[in-house]
Amino acid sequence: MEDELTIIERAKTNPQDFKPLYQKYFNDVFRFVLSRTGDIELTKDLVSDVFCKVLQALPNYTYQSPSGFKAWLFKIAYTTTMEFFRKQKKEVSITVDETDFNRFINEIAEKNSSSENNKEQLKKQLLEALQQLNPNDLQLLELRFFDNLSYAEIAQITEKTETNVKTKTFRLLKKLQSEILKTYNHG
Amino acid sequence: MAKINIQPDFNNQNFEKYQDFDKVMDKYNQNPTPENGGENKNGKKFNFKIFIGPGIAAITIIASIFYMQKDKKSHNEKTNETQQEELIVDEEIVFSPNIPVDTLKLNINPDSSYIITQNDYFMFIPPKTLVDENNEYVEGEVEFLFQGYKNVAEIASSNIPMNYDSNGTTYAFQSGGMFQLRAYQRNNPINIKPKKEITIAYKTELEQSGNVYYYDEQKNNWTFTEKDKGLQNTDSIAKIIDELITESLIDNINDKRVVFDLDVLTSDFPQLKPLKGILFSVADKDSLLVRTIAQTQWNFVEATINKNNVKFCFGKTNTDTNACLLTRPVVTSKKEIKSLKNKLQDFVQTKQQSIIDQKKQLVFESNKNQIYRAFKITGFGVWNCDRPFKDDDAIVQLDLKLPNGESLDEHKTFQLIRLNNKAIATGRSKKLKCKKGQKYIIMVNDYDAKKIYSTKVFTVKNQKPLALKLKETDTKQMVLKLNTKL
Repeated sequence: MEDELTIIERAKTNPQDFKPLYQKYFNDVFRFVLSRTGDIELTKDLVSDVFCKVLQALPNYTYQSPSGFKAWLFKIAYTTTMEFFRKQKKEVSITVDETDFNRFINEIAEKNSSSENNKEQLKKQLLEALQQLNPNDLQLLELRFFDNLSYAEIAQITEKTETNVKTKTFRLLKKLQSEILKTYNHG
Repeated sequence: MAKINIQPDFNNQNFEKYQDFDKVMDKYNQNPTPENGGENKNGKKFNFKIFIGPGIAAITIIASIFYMQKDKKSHNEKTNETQQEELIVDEEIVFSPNIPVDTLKLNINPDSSYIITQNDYFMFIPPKTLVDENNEYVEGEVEFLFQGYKNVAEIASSNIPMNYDSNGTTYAFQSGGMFQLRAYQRNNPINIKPKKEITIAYKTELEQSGNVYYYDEQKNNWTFTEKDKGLQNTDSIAKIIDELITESLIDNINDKRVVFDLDVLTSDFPQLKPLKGILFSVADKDSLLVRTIAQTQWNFVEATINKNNVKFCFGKTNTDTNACLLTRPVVTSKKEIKSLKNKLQDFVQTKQQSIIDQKKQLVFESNKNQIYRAFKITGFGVWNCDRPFKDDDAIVQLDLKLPNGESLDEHKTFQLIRLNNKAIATGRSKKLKCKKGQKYIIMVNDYDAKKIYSTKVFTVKNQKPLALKLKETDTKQMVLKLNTKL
């Protein structure tokens, strides 16, 4: 495949030329949207909207780096999905990979020295605690731990700064840790 | 409540069979330009409005003129390098990882006042000052986080935007001291009640005096609050005493509550001397604690007087041991009230004297190359004693090169320090606002990389694009460097 910059520059005048990048990023964008909708048909429709918006915005886009392009793409995917939920007044559902979730449990449980025996209990408590979070906070954790995006990418997607994203993530983890510790202490 | 599904192997699923680029192209061909809600290159939403119908023709004309002017301005901003680019810093201010944060946990009783003397700051919290998000008085453990920025290097490394906008004019800041104070209860931020304030004085190396500004995190701008003021007493002794001594304090000494006499060495705790001879009652649940207290050599005893009771805190330094007792003075008749009033008046006066002594100590220390800048704050966040300096207005293209040769991301902010007057301005987006012939240093704080970078001292001679190398540094090195160069 040609380099991304060449493809993008050509696609600015001839959108058909964007196809190699569509193919390259389709799987990631599809999973990103599907993890929020949980519905294949809806996701197919939203993802075509996402790439349509990408083509529309492409003439004004200035390519800087592959990571910058990916973050820009995911930003459009994120805003398109969130806009859909806002318009439909639906609650966002989240689908997460089990391996990612277990890694997240380890992150939370770091200071709780959890044994394997109480991992299941912790998993249940963590799910409950996550469900209590406000949608924005939950989205932030999803972007970081389940979409596995870097702080810089999340910052670009959510139009915040890296510092802000990092601090908020840190506080959320601390909050979840203290919630779980509280349950332990009372349990 | 969000629904969370956990799916095994979700990340490894292949969705390529759903690819349909023709469908994307069909949608695109139907509307090849951005719709409302599309994105321009800055990621901001287009906000075009279409007005239909002669009844709103006038509005359309006005709107057209408005948009023409807006477009013209936008065009100018894109083509004319000397135009100022708006600096939007949409971020929550956070603690700098390069400067220590003082953490203090206090068990707050809303009716009490608190005097806190830490290494780098002094704080006075009057009663009924801290409230939660529902404006309810906060009670229980509160965590205070304090970060003081003592010098130009620390201020620059904080990444806090140092641009002050007043009536459309942008200013840089010449700081006389800046700090950040936050308070949390169970990780939830708490607030200062409206019309109440906390007095705080902290050590700074900056002699510059100035007005007081508060960083409004909602509006992302500094707000002028008042002229720089010194410390002032807020509570009158008479007021405290009048509130404290009421007939409600009369207790029956024969009831079943545990009663104890204060038994401490008054030479060690002179402020408690006036309270000698007064009996205090405590709840049954504290009876065991009273015996423990009597048998222990405590390193500090602190008493706080509230309207209805006296709170004693006993503690041992360098250990986790401490105890707090909420007590009430016991009086058996109205005759004893007068005597009690006098004793408590003496106690409060002694306590006030100790505050004055602490302040004297602050003044004394300020004569030893340490300045205590005092603030009356009405909210938690970032406060700044500063003198605005009219921003330099020439703009040159800037390319900041990291040590690995890559250019600094255009989204990152930098702090520009003007050496002749220590004015700091925040810049971004590869544009440098400066004045020809002036000497500057740029500092960049990369939080993610946990690194601070700085340039060499440089002078801008013309409008040509400028490429500067960034070198890794730290705040200590920067203090030395700036002290040498200033």
